[in-house]
Amino acid sequence: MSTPLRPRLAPWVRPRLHHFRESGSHASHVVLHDARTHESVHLETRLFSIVALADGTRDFDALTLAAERDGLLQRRSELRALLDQLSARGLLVDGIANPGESPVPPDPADQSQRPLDVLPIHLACDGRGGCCRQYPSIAFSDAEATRARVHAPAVLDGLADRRRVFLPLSGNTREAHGVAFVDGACAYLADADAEGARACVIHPVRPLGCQLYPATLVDDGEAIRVSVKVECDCVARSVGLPPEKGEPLVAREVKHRGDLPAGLDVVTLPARITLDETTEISRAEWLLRRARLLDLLVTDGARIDDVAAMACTFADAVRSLGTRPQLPKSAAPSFASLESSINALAARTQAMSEAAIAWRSPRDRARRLRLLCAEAAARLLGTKKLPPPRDHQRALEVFHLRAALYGHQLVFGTLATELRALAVRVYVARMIDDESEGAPLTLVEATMRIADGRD
Amino acid sequence: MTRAVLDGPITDDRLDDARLALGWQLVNVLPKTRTSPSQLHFLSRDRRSLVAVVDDPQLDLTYLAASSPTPELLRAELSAIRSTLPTLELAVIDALLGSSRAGPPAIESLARGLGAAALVADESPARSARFVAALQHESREIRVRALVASAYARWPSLRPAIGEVARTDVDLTVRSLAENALTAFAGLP
Ligand code: SF4
Repeated sequence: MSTPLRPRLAPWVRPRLHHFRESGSHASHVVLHDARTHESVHLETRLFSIVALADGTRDFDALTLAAERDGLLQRRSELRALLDQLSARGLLVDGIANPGESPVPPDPADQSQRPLDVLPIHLACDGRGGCCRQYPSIAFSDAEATRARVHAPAVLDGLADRRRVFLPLSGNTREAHGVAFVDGACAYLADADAEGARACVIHPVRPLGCQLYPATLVDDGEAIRVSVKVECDCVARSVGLPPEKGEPLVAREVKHRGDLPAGLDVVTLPARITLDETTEISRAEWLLRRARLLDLLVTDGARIDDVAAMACTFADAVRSLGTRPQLPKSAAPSFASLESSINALAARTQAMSEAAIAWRSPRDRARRLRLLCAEAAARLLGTKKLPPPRDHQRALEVFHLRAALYGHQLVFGTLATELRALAVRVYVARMIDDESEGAPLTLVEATMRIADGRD
Repeated sequence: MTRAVLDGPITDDRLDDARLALGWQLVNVLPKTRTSPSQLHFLSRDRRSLVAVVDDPQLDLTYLAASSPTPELLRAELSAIRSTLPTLELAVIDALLGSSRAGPPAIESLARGLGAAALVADESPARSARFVAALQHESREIRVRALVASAYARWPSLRPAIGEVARTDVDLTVRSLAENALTAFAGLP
């Protein structure tokens, strides 16, 4: 692939600025994540600043001039080699826009009166900022980034220079930004106090995504289904909490889509739902089946002994799932039937763990989570036995399946495949004994969301 | 405008290292066109002198052209350049002009000498004689290089010899090149 004449970072590249605090000194570099391949390239910040100047309007000569103007240019051969390297990895495109890059136009139909249907869970945040330390991307709109810089100007001296705290969320976009990380934590997360609590220093103006986390919103044509990602220890500890002990997923007064804050990303459910390789049903049909399944999970949920086994049973009977008046009889799957999926998960987490060890700080939570997942998956492969649930984790596992169905989380791919993948993640989580980082299932879910590029 | 010819092939890295050492700022990049060679323009550290690095394929030489508001600044800039980048000094250029007539390396040296002298040397009877000899050289390549260099040098003493080539050279293409070279002398006394 030849290097583009007027290069620009491709829209599938997610540049993230990482700062490291090492015994008093300060180091930083930029990681370019390729959202398609999950590979990454590491650059010193000076070189990334030059790459950021490559916005599709400059050829090589113009880029050297812009870099020189900003005091960034050393050898032109260094820049040429960098562009060649990024191009060879498919991280550059040519010119200022390519087909398919413009934002999807809004649906013209007025959906402001579509009701919200919110999963009844009341969340109690532990204030330790676990969720602010485990993802590779934390998105801010342009306005949110400005508000944050003004609210906390001293954080990385971000008011003076936006680029110390924010890089484009993807490619060269100017509309959305990814916040910088300090030892893997959002730059706006304060250090831990004596009790281990870590405050968000921009709490009143934190971005919408953080305000709504861990809620998921899907518009299925009838309602906006609000569910939850089981990726945060606070979710695990909130299962079964009475209403007065926590907060609902969205504020009680938000009843319709029109009440939601502007700019919110509400995903639309596809018109056809894929059950397995050969079977599709309409969205309307899926809504009926889902409703019946959820009812059965409420009435019979207490009798589910093993959610992972039940998910596999659901997958095996996926064509008739939700059409019968009772849940199918759960049968434990064989290890062999899931071995290739476990293998794939083990390989992914092993690669992620090795990559994390190579450059992430030992204080970085994401690094520890990846290591825990990789070790658990390797142990599972070694034992060649699917572990039974542990009593204290059973309620969370059942809740997980329910939340996933409630929020349509399993039907953006092939339902049978997603059910088995969920089962595999549950089995891997059961192999984690160390719960110091939070409930194992939440760690595996958060890590695998990143592994699958669902973040 | 004062020029200095760089000695030997100068890589981009060598030039960039000099740029950083001298504190120059790259201010323009002019790509090669049909009528002009590629050029890099730099501002000196004090932002008062302009230095163009010209990669001239016609002369097969890279040279610097510096301009400064005062002769002192220009001298200072040239001396800084000479201490950082290898340049062809006048004595070397004259020696190249006197290269023996036989063999490819000598022809190459003579060609370099002609180009470099055209860029930086003043007219003198001895140098003119070398140019005239080159215009009558048995090697067609040297005659062509001498014509190109003569058009750069524009020393009035060369005009009759170029006219002679235009009329009598055995190669018709060389004759027409000589006709072209004469146009560079238009308007000179
Ligand atoms: S902005 Fe605040 S809430 Fe959001 S990730 Fe950063 S520290 Fe956490």
